[in-house]
Amino acid sequence: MTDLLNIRKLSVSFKMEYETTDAVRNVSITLRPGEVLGIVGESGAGKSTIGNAIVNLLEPPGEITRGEVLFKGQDLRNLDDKQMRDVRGKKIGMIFQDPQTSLNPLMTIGGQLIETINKTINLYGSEATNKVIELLESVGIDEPEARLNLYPHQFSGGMRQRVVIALALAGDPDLIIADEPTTALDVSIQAQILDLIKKLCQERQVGVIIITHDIGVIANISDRVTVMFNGQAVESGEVKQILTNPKHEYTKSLIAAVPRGDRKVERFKSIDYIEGGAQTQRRIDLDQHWLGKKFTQHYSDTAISINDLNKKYSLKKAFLKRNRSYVHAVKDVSLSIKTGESFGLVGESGSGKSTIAKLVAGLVSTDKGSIKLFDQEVTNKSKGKDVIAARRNLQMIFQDPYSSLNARMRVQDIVSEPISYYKTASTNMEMRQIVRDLLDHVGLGSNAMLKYPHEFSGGQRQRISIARALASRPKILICDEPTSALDVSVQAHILNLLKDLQDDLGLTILFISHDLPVIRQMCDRVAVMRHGSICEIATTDSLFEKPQHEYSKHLLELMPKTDFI
Amino acid sequence: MKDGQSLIEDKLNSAKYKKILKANFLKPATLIPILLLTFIAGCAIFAPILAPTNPYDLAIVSILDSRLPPGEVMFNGTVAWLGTDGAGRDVLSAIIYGLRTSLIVALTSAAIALTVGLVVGLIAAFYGGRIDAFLMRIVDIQLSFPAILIALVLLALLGKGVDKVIIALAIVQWALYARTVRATAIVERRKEYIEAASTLGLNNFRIILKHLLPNSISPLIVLATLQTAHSISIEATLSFLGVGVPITEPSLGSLISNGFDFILSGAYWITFFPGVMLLATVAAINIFGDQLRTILNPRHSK
Amino acid sequence: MSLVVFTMINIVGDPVDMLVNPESLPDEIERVRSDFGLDQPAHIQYIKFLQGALSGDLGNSFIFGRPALALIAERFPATLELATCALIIAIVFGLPLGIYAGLNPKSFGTRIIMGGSVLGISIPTFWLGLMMIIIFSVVLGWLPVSGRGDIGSFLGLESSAFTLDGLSHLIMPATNLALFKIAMVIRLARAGTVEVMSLDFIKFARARGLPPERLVRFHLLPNILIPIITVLAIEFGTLIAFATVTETIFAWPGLGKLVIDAIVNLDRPIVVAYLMFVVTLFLLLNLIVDIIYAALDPRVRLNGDQ
Repeated sequence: MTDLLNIRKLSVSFKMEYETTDAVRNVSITLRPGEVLGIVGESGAGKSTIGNAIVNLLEPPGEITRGEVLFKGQDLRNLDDKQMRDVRGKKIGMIFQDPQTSLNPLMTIGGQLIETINKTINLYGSEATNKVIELLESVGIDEPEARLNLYPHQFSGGMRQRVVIALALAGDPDLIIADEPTTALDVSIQAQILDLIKKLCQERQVGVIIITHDIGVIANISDRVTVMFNGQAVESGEVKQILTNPKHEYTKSLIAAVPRGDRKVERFKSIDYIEGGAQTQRRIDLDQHWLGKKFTQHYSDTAISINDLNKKYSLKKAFLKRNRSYVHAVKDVSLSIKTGESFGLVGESGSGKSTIAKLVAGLVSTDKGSIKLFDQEVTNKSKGKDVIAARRNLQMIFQDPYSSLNARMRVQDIVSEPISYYKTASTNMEMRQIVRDLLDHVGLGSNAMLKYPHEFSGGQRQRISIARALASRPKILICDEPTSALDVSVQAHILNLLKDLQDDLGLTILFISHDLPVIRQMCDRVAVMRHGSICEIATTDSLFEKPQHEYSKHLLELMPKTDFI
Repeated sequence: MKDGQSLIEDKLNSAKYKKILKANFLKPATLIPILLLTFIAGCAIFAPILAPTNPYDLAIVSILDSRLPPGEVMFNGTVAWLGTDGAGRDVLSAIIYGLRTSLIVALTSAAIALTVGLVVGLIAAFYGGRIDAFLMRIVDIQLSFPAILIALVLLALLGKGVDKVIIALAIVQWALYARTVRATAIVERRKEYIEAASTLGLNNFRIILKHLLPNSISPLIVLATLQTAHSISIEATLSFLGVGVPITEPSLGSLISNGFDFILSGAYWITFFPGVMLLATVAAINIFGDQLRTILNPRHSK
Repeated sequence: MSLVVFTMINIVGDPVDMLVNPESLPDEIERVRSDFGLDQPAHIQYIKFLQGALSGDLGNSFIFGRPALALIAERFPATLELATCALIIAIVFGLPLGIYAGLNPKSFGTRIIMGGSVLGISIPTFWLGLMMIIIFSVVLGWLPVSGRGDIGSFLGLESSAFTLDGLSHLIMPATNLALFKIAMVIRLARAGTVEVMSLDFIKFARARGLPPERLVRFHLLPNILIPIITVLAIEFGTLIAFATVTETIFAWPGLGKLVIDAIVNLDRPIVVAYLMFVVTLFLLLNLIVDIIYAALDPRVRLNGDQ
């Protein structure tokens, strides 16, 4: 059988005025009809660039510098603009990451499908409409006739992605390139969309290239996989073989960094390949150090105690009470977290888990209920000295490493702010020494002090955030999706660091995540949340082994399988 | 997942960014307006030294010199390179003195408006809710009326004079600054570093001053530049309409207004040269502002 | 609002001083004063003014001795005509140029367009008007200097755009007024184009093989038009305000000229009436903007139905 797509020694460069970046170097890929090929890699690996290069949709100044893109034996590089347009849609369909932005918001979905069909397979009028209805049915949209005249914003995220898939298939292409097709979707919808893509492509004998950062996606859907690192394809082969018996060091560490859902491991191991070189982590001797001093004090056994907590957000403001509408973000939540415990909150987006974090941290006010930190009531009604003192025991690590640091402050000023504000160090000299030690302790090195946040990668920024939190000498750390914006290998590093800190300092951690395997690796006990309420609280092991609540079972079923490792 | 593009942006953010910044400043599109503006500011500052005559010293001005075309020699022996106006004042000198008034009016009113707008915008963005709604309602109402109209009415009420024009222009402009600051600050306000600052227990004043303000100010720099150009233009327009700076005081607008009466008799130079100067000043500031916007583009400096 | 306008107008000078001959006898001044009701205390004046305003009477002009509102109604069509023409010119020239510049960021034409637009926003309208008069009327003698010219009628609309003479009077002031807006539309259209073209749905539309003409017409244009139309509707008010300048230069018999004269002569009823008129106009424009917005954007339209 001939190859559907054959990429030979492809190189893509982005030529800038001051510098040229080789985004893709010497990559060769082959794909047979009806086959699903996964391209996996972390950010900056060049995987999306390959997808765009195939159909010549590179953003300027990107251009193919070398190599061939043979599609059914014809080199796509030799086509002019017009010929290329006939390939796009008709021969090769694309699916992009974010269904929110992939559709024209001002055109009905019927309109967008019909224009594509007009162009690609030259069907017009009622024939085109029939084809559209057939397509929408095939991607699992009910009552397609009634939905033709709807606009994209009237569909949910998952439904929109189905429309996007219908659009990609509209011209009966032979190849589909799907660039992170499920990344922007909730876990429960991810699986459906992947199944749909797989099913449609088998039915139609369409070749598929799935570009993703998620090894779980690859394991679920693809036949073969190419692993990309830093613009190069480091390893290719059958999925099973690559996942169980990786040859290249990078593949090995990438797989080792994936959190497992099936059992707890102490630390993530052998993940040094990515961040390059050994970490400069130099531990502080806590008995002697400023940082350790406060931690010797005695605290009560319960760190956080939440009782009957409620929070509503208003969706629609109105003068009359009955016209207002609310979303009940947190509904009658009660839980208590022991000192030194690592407690997880897990749930899908909109389940209210982040709102709880913000309520506990005092970032939003409570409507009803009580929150106690070490037996001190801290809800908004009380604003005494005791409350402020109790709040200082609590610090937070945020989700987005790019927005959680003040871009206009140097790292040393960011980290030292709580020290200087509360004057917890006696001299400036001492303060600087503390900052230096903290940065060393989180594995960043003290030469970071004079730099600004934008000079650091996402993982490094999270380390700065952690150092800033430690500078308050907290007893409680709230981690709100601390690694969900990070690549998997970087995530492994940060999670290791958090584990170490907890062991050393006896921190109480409230860990919030949508990612079950991460929760499994990090937490002693877990609460499962849905629609603002807690479904189930259990020890991590018992939740993962014997979930009691229906919703917990449902979530666990959707969890990406990691038994390939 | 971002890819090639983000790779490039990350690299741009590194030390090379400074190099690019420097190169951007050395581009002709930035350099020429800067040089021009330096020259104009120099003229304005050293007006008494540079101007051949003092056109507002009534003892020197002679009605016999009125409407001399460019290059003619005036009664007192100096050459009127750009001609003289209806009252016999040397146009070149009047332009140099006029620049001074225009720049003082524009810069002072911009400074006042910027300060007021900054405070209002930051407070609205930080506290949100009703305070925000109230302040922004005022801003919206004011901004729904054209600046020139408000200025016109204000000056009709306040009367003529440099100080009054400054007050009127400050009142006209503050709302735009307030809205711009608020728009940026409200985005910044929602970012996690502000939440981090409040978890650290810092008080609101410190959060606004040290965290919110420095991150909300860069769009304001561009706006202030463009608004300065705009207010020079408005001042000239008002003076031209006869409600701004009185004709006895030096201003480009009043000079052009003076020349309006002689247009049909062919004395073009009284309106032409001050207008060219006005255009050059405003255009130089605008081009500079545009370049500044490109350079400060958040895509590059993230 | 009316209170603010009224008090502020009252603070400024005594209109009687402007109205009567400085050499008049004191009792003559008093007579004028009482004729206009200016001898009564301010709050009574205000109540009278309010009563009048509610019944559509904003007082008589001190100068013309006729109802202020009638004068405004009489002058408004000329200003409306001027502003409408300017708006049309701005859209017809600005939109295509801006889109071109947005689609071809590096081309030579774009440099010229953008350079021109900087010049356009920098050039003082009034000065440009004077230069136009010097060039087209004084030096070349092609176009008349001032006035409105003959008025023609077409489909029940009366405008000077329908006669050749009227058109020759209209073209210079309208172009003058439009220039700033052309530059503005260019900038808006370019910024919108650059932004929309970088969005995912455009990339996706290209990936579906749609040709460039279709991309521009059906995907780019509707998306940039919504913000531009909303801005322009508001800017129409600015055009009417800026018409004061243009009308002064070209002696165009519109609202602007009326109000400038009124301000200079302290003709209080006219100024008050003008302001009330303009406030109403702006409220109306804002309403129109909301309606247009809802009509064009399905996201707004459909939310309103629920």
